[in-house]
Amino acid sequence: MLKKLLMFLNDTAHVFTSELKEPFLDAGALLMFIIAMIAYPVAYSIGYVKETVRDIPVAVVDMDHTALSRQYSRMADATEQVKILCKSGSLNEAEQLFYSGKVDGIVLIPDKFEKNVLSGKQTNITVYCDAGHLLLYKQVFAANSYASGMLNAGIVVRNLMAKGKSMNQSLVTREPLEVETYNLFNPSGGYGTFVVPSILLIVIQQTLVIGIGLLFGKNYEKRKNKHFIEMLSRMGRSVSIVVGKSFAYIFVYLFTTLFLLGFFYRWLHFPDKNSFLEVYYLLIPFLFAVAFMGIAIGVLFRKRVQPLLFIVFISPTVYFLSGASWPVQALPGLLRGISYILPTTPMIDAFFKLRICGADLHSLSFEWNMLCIQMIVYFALACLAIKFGLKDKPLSETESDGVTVETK
Amino acid sequence: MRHLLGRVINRELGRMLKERTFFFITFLGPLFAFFIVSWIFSSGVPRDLPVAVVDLDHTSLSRKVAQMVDATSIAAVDRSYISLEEARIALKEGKADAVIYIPKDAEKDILKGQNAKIALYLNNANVITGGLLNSGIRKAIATLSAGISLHSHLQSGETENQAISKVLPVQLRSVLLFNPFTSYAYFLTILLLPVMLTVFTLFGTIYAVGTELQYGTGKDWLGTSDNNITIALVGKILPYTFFYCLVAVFMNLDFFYVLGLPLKGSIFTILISELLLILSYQSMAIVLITLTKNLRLALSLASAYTMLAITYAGFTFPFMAMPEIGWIFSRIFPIVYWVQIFVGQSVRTEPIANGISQMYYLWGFIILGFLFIPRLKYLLKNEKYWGKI
Repeated sequence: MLKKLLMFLNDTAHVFTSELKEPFLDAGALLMFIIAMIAYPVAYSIGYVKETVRDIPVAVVDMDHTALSRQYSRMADATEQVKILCKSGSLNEAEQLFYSGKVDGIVLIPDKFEKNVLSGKQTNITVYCDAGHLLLYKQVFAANSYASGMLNAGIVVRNLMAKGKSMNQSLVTREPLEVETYNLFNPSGGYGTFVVPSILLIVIQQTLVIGIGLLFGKNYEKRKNKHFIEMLSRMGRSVSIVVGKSFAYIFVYLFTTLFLLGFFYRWLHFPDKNSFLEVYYLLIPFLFAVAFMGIAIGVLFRKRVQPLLFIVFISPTVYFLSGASWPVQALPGLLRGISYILPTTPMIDAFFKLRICGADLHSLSFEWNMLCIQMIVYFALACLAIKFGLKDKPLSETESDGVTVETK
Repeated sequence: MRHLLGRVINRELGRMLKERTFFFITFLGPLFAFFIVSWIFSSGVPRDLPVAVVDLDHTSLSRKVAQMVDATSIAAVDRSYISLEEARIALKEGKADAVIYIPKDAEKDILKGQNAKIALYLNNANVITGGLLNSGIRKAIATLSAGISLHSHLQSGETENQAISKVLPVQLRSVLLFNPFTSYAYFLTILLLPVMLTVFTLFGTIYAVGTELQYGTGKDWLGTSDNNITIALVGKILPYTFFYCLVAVFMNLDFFYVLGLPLKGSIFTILISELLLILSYQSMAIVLITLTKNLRLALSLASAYTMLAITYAGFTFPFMAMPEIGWIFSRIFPIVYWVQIFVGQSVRTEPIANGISQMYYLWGFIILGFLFIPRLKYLLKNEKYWGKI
């Protein structure tokens, strides 16, 4: 019995050591396992390093030309979100600037603006912005609502004080209910902080799955599965193969993820409210779930290029399914359910709560359990796939897809 | 000439029928991708995000605040939280996206003529929901506040119009151009569907040309066109251009009929730009395969090339806020120019001339591909480069 167990462990260790070399022997796998893991995040982050959009150019169309209208322009200009690029005489002119892309918003101050305010009639300011670009729209609108709020407050308080109320009384009459907003977890509203952590986790999942698929494709193409198939004749060896292979890949990924989620993450100054040790608590079941999933899928591949052709296009959808960017409440229920076949779904959720919001580990039990369930299910699937799906290329099949003989 | 072209096309169609991979990259894959993307964004705007209200006041005013917030489409109020601490933990754990804290004696303070402060805590880790909740909740409470203020003005014997202008002398109106629903979904689909189209166009063309190198069938291929590389290439690529144009037609149907995007400009310009987009990516496929001489490496680079375009299209995050190098980097993706044309023509009603000037860039990519043709011919004839995947 003990001897059998030892032999089993020996086989597992053998798979592990031989598989550990594999990613380094194949240029394609190396590209996925190491180079892509570094190059992708760097390339993505460059776009987002500045985090927020400041000083968006807007045009002011001032039809009033009074002290009050100029005061409004100055107030808007003083916000960090927009900068008044120019004052144009007509709306037409401003529209030209807008279409040519020189400004991203137009503020229209109507005729008789000051006169109306002084005579106690309500007047308005119109902001035209490009809602086709939501980030720009949000900023232009925020700047103007701030400026108009300030302007209103000044006018109302001045009027009330003119009626003989004290400054304090006037402030209260103006706004009985005051709202103070606290932006937590990402106070500056940085877009990079919002996007990049999820991208890092998706890159980890996708490269690992594609990399594993690539190695399976290669083994099939080069008839290297013979050795494993022989091993399968002994009892429980599908477990040996799955464990040996997954440990080997995860071993490599422990280093790359340390770089990505440890050094790189800190280098970009993303919020980091828990120690890296706690990240590992999530990362370990995540990596296993992904590796087992990779093996279960990888067995199906007969060529090295297939994982690229079949998996890459899924990547952007993974991002929106994870719930980190596109809110879960806005996902169709069935799709949300389906998204739980992906390890990134619970992982990204848990990662945000842990590192960016600073939640405790015990509050992540749902996500952690989910990752463990995925790990177990994919382990079972991987073993079944290896046991029944691992094939060697038949010798008769010297032709590739019936086109011509392979030369190498 | 035409006879040769026909022979090459025939040969290519034969290859496509033999391998199921081709069926996937020209038909099944794009449709599946379109389906998933459209499904994700089918509900349009986020609604009913969980908002915790911690009410220590327990008065008609505090209930009114909760009601007003609940009435917005963005928020769904949960009033079961009894302490701020409890609510803040819920916020951390993602059970609530915002917390509204109404302190004790809020109503009393207002009746006394003092103002009451309501605190709003937002989970801004998601800047999209954070921003939507912020504006939604603030607007609801401001309306309530203005109502109270208006009431006191009316009580002092002013007419309603007078009172309104006293409460809010200057009203801010916003005119939303081009995206009347301010929907994030709407503008993400404009980007994601064509990204899917370009992924498959690039992959399909690389695979079609790359497999000739891999299997060493280049001579056979060239032989079909009597060693005329241009005819060989045109004949090979044409069937794919046709299939991807069909995919683009599907995309347009999805855009204008399913998603209901406005079509204010010229559909003709859009169709031409889509054809040029497809040709640009086919041309880049030739560049990639010729440079790498290796099918798999070309596909790996193609993955990066298409995926990175999502970030650098300047759609999710504007060019203006990117560092200089990011902006320069963005110029290498044909889809970046195409998005400008599409948005200009479909939603922005730009003059057609704007679209045409962007098309020159797409032509640039197409011409770039032509420059690599002689080199490709050399590779195809040289046994040394065969069999590499």
